[in-house]
Amino acid sequence: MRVGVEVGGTFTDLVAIGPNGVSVTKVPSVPKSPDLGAINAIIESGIPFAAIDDLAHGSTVATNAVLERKGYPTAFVTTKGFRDILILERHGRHNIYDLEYQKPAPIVARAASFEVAERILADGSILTPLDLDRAAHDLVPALAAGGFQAVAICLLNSYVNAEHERALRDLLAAKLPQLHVTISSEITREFREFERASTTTLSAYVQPVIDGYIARFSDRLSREGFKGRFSVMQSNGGRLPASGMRANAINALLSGPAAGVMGAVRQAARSGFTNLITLDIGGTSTDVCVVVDGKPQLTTSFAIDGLPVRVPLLDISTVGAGGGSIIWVDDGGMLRVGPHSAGADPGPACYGRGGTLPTLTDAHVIRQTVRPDAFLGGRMQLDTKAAAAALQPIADRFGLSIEAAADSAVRLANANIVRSIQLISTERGYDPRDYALVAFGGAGPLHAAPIAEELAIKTIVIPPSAGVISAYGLIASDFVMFESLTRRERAGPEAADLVRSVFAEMKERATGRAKALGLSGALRLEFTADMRFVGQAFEVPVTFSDTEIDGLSAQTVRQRFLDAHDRIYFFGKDSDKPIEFVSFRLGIILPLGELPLLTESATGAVAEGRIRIFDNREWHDGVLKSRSAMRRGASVPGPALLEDPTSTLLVPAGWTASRDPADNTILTRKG
Amino acid sequence: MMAIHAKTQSSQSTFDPVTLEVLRHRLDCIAEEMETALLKSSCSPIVKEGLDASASIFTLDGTTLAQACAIPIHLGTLIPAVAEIIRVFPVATMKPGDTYILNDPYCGGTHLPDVAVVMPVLSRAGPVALAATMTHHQDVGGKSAGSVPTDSTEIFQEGIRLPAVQWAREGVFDETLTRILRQNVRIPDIFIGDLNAQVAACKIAGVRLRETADRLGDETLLTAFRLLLDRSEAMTRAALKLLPQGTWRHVDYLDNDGIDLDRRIRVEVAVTLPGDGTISFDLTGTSGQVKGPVNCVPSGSLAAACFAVRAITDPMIPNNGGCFRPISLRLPPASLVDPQAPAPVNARTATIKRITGCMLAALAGAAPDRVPAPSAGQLLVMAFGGRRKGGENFVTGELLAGGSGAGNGFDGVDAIETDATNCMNLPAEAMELEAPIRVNRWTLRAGSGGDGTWRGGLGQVKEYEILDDIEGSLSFSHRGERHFVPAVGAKGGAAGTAARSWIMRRDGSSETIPSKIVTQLSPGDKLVIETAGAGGYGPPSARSDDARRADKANGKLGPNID
Repeated sequence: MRVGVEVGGTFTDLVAIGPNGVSVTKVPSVPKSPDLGAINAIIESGIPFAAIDDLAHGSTVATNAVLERKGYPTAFVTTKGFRDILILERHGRHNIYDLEYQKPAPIVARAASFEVAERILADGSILTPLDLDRAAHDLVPALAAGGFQAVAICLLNSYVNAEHERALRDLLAAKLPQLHVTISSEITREFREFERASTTTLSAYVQPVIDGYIARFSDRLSREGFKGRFSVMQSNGGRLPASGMRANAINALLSGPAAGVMGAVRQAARSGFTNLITLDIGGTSTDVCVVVDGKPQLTTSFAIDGLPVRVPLLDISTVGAGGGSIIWVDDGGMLRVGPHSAGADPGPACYGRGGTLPTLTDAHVIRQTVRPDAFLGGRMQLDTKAAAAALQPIADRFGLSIEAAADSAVRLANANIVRSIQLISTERGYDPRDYALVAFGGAGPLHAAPIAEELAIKTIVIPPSAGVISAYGLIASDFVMFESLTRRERAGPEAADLVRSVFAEMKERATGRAKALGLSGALRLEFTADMRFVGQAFEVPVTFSDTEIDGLSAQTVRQRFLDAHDRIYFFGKDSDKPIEFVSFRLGIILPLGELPLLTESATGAVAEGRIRIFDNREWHDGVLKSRSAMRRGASVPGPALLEDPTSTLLVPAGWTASRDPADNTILTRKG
Repeated sequence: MMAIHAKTQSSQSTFDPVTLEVLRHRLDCIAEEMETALLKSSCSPIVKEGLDASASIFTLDGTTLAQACAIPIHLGTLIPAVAEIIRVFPVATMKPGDTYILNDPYCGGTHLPDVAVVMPVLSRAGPVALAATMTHHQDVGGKSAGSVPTDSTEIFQEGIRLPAVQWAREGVFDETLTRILRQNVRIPDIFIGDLNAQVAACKIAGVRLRETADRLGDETLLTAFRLLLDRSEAMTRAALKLLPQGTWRHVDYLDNDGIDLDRRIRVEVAVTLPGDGTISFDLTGTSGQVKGPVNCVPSGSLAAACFAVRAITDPMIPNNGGCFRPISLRLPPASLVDPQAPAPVNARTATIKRITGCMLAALAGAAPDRVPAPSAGQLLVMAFGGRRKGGENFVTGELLAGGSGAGNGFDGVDAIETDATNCMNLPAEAMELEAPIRVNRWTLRAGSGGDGTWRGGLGQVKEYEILDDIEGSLSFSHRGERHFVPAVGAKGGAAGTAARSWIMRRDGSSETIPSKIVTQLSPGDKLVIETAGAGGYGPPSARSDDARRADKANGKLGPNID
């Protein structure tokens, strides 16, 4: 039995796939102790712990630790003369009009920043040797006295020579064995000291949190009789054995959203779709990601709470629009939706938990595009009267009927989401019309069609059990690790030799790491060089497959860069300007053997019926159907509501939904 | 505010607020898409590191509809340029693919490196809008590489001057003009390449906006444009009406003009809020125009005013020309802020920063709780250029900020960009990869923040050492500010510490840099930079013991002992 458990802010989702098919479980999250919510989900699912071979987990533990500053006291150690790296930052503002602007608060205070005498130069040579005796004499007692649980070490130019960082780590490990020590050269080996120090510090900060969390979770699992493989989702869309994550906590940051993208990628691929825009609409936010040739795009310029994180993670754009987003009127008399959210508590007015502010979910209830009886497969009854009471003032303000006001809010939310998709598609040179929209999350299937229309997307893929795709993505993902290295060198006649030697060096280190984590089997390697014209400020990633590296020529390396540059910046194809390498990345992938199959669940199925919904400014009569009742090959013309226990799919007038052989529901536009 | 709501409703009965809001998103998104294309495809380092470029959509009468800019110095900056272009080339005569360029500050430009490119956006029926971009080009000719000579004394030394000229007719470029442009700049391929990036960005607006026009119809679109402008104007006026009536002044100084090193340059602003929702800035009392290049044509004061008003009202008000309508400026003729040709203007950024600071400080009279004490308001611009042993040339630059002013309830921020600019510093590891220069230390400048109930932000200290790997010496330029005139405190807070910079020569001698200098550095020479701290807010006696303890624990007081 393979089980994915995804802990979200409101609900904890579980998807189990075994010989007897698929089962889906949803339980309330336990924010104070997320592992408890996860254990509850397994118990609720009725699956014996001993029957689970493969347990994959995703959570927001790392993200919350950073956002709520709930990590453990952490110290920062760097080269003499540079203790203020974390405070000096890059000194740009994220909001230029805010006169009270404050920099993102560093994880480590100045008083907890320490220096050691040593200096390595940009070419890796040592100007000042590390004085270990002095560090033992000064630094060790200072760290001991400060009551720190974790320490981040980031020395200048250590990306090219890690000797001093390792020596310092060994010293601290010997003298202060209880301390979690994280060194920058093992987290990211890319130049720019602030970004590297920030990444290392964040990693060190969440390290004890993740370590404790996984240890507690693993203990409980083994007490319950679990004997299978326990893995955790990383921000890069790949899994890592839980033991590996304990030493690489920085990769746990976007665990949840990444799992959703991977689930969508796997499920869409079964229907032959590999160029995708994923649309995950949940309770508080919407996550979108572009997938090209089955590969979600990665970014190395992510930030959490304004603090840079320089490890590769999925390039997911988030906008504050979800079921809980609050509908309001601004000072100019304009209707707005979000980014503020009613959250899980009190939640939307229709939850009947005391919320009085109108939310997007309330708007759907009023439009009758969400049936109060069908929410979460009928396990939660929604209060239509409360929704109406919350929305009425908005309707009065604009002199609209309440349905028209609700519909306006839904259309506005769609406009916000469209914009977030344009940010990662048109603005990065991808034309959305060339992509299929894969919609999931509790509210994704409700909003997909109008959003696709606005972007001129012709095909929408709705996976089965669309509300729990993130949990499915956990068990449908490969195991993935990354290595990075900065080595700035001219890409001249020896370019191919340099690629080969760097590849060999990184491959050896990476396979060693994989072996240590017990990952065996046929590993796939993806090698990327970040290159640029000499003097250019930004690098362009150029990818080489492991099979072509042996036969690579300098000319091919150059042409590959020129083509990549031209694709992104629209010039450079025929340039004769000198080019250079800046850094390298190696992805190590252990592909999943057999893909678990997801199907529609029949829980809470209703008989086919007639409905009346308000959509796109007017009332429509349409069909109500359970998605589980749709046979392969069957199609339903809009207007229609197609329900499953995890989400409601809205098929507007002009669209047709059909069930394909992979159990996906495909929406296409007529004409 | 209810009145606005009523107006929006009654102007056009078919216009539901949602369609309008969706269109606004669309326009902003198009401007952002243009801006992304500009930033990504430009070669100029100042565009990449300094984000010194902007993209706008204008109505046919030259009003800003949407603007994407990463730094406030570009706010409204294209308005005079577009006005001049449509004056010379009437909109009714524009055809698809027509392309206009302009850079002359005395004909609507800012300073010569900023070149405006404008193209019409046409629906099936005819022109509906104008697309405009402005990019800071790496070199536009003139007396020194980079076209920002700190010692220029007339604009002819600063590069090629372009009045409003047509570069392409219906997509066919004027080769004569292209050849003249190429002949006048040092790196013609990059110059033309960056201009092409601007044209490409304008074309994006053409395609996207035409799609919208086809869907909504021209008339509806033009009505919506008007409603969006009216709405932003009304929101700005409403926000301004909430402020008390009156006139408030502030005076501050620039260190010097780079020519007369001992003469401070006065900037004076009187802001008046008559209570009718308008605001005026009178710069009478500001220095006459100066010999050196810190003169600033009127578009600079307009950008400063737009920023100040936006910051003091509500930055969430949709950004378009409607927000600028309530603003008026009075600039004394033949002055620092309205110079006459051929006065040099290339270093105007320092002036815009000081004008912005003065406007905000004057506005503190109207909203003492919302405006912090003066910031360091300096952006030190340095350039190092030379030749490595073995023959390879290098040029690298560095931008360093001081602290930001303390406000009612918060300390200032240490080492942060403020007001009209928003640049990033250069990582030590990047500097050491780029050039034979080592960074020896880089820390906060302890004790530099003005004391107060709330402490001003600290400046920073950065020490560089020139390494042996160079042929002879390298050329070094240093364009400083706040060396002679510190940022004052507010409400009884103390002033921040002034900036200082000096060179420690290998032979042990020391030379103080008088704010601005162009000189040579040799191997073994060290350069020490200390940027300015910002003003404190409120009397120091009222600073809490906790805050003082934290300052002590975090080493923010007294001389830097490490």
